[in-house]
Amino acid sequence: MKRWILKAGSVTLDGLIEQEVELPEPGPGEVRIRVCAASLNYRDHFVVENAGESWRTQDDVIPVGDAAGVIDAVGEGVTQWAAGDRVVTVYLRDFLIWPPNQNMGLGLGSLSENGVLAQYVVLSSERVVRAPRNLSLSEASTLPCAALTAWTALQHAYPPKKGQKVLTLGTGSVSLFAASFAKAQGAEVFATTSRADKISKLEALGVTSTFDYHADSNWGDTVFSATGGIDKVVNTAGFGSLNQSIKAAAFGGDVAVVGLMTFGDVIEPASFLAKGISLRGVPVGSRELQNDMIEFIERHNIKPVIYKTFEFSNVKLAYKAQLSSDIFGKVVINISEE
Amino acid sequence: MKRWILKSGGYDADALIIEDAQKPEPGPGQVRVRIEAAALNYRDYLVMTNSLWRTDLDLIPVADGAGVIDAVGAGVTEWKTGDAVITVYMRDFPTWPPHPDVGMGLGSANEHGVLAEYVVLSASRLVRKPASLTSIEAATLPCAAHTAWTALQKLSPARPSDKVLILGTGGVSLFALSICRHLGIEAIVTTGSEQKRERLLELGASEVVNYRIDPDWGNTVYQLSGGVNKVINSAGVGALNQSMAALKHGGNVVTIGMISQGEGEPVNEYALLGKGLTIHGMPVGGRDGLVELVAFVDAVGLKPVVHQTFSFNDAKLAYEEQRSSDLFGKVIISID
Repeated sequence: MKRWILKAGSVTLDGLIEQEVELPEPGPGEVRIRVCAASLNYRDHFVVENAGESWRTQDDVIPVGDAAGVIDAVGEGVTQWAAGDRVVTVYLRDFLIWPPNQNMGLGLGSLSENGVLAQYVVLSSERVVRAPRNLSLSEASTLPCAALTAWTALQHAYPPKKGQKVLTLGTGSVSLFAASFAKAQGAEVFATTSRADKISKLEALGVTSTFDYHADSNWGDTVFSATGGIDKVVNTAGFGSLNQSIKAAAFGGDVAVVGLMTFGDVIEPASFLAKGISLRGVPVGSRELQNDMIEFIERHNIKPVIYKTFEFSNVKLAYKAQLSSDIFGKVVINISEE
Repeated sequence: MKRWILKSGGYDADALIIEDAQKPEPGPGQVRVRIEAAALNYRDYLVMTNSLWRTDLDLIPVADGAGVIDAVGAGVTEWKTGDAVITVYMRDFPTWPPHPDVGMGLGSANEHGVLAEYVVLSASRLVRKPASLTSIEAATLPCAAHTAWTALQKLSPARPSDKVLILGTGGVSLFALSICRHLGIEAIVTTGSEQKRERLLELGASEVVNYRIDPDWGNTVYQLSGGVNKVINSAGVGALNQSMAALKHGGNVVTIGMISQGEGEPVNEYALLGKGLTIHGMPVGGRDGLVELVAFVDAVGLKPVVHQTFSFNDAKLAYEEQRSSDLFGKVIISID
């Protein structure tokens, strides 16, 4: 079968090499998946570059964590799956229910965990969940990391009630999924962006109004004044945006912190305390939350935003597209027919 | 009647003066309370010395009061004369969440406090005093105990199998320790002063860690306990990263109080995300929490730790004692 690997010691896309190898066999407690599609995340470039020397070991690794496919063989003792089942991968390891733990890793397709950029992968039977019935497997491949992160940010604690206000930051895929989920729950969604050309796309997803975080470094206060305060801020920008997120938040609001794009804020205590804000770290999510999310996606017929789709032979172009400043949605790689 | 005021424009102890005044009359929706005891909090020093806490009023200071209702205004049905009551710190804050108008507590800005023989308050600004406490003891509850209760029981509520880390030995911390003991929750306490160790162990702390000797106390607590579920952080944003180091995965740190404003470090992103932690900020709490706390105090026989009691005329000495480095428990002013 064909697969892509990142060669040991490589730190550029030159290290991404296509190989022809034996079909892997599922052992006890494992399943083999015929991978139909995979999708990329922001972190996949960190894995290529081994950013901070934190994402790779000394060995070759099959990259990428998000995939959807069809089970084609089950190992000994596996009863919850059968050949023909449509599944998506579970991003983190040994994280069946909240809370997170020390063994979760950094996601399939990093460190010592071979990922999904292959025609067939073998995984623990717990490392997949059923794919939503309302999505193709190309669409479903977008879910494991970004959608689950958005879901956990919204739903795990302080879920927004109908009519409450949700703020998403920027137009990364976690934000886009958060906007779709929040709209489906009856929340009013606001967004920040720095790109005027993305505004109409955000509005097409149901965003009520947008705020320019680049032109207005005090966007938090602006959002608060314009909206009366945001009940749930999905902070995909990160730790340099904490204080602005807190400013935007309503009294009693929740700031779910997802991102590692910005750094360095010291929390300004006065309004953090007076407003009674909760600030929560969200590391993707548990398998249990992923199953809840899949049910929700089916019930509300949520569709992912897909930016571009590539063939399996054009994986390097897919990685380049992931870096485009025009990106709006997921980069998907089709690997085999559904 | 007699009352103490902080004179407008005065920001030191000289501004605190005792004067005669008319006994106030309750208007519609209000009651008059004959104050029997008042208790000080750390913030009372800030109210005295920091113009951010004051307006141009001659302000009756102090928020925590216990007394007896002696006159009821028109339309008030929930109280009658003779009812024993304690004050509610924040304004118009019946239940979570807070809002922009809760104020900064009685006895600050334009809200007269309780350092007077008689005060008039809105009927909802009081709850019944616990029957099991004297007025002197009950006066200690409105700020510190209420804050501890909210931090333990209202935000990411602690369960009996949990472990809690309590920072320092201020008013909120000592109440948190007592509440934990009565709930069967294991509590570890940090202190900067070895002299307090014995008393903390007597009060029920399972471990005492000295943060002055051990600047990596967060890790030490983690090693000792296997990770705590909750940190009660009265030490401000500067203690957040060490607090997060002490937490188990999925744990929370509740940040309260006035100390170390703005001297923090950037939040440790790998701890917050990797462990899936929550940081709460909170202002004292809603009135419903104080009602629960009063019922709890009566149910379990919780007693406050009292540091020292002063007479009404010695209020200035009380303020000084509140700033003592030996402070261990509440400073109370008796008005009887």
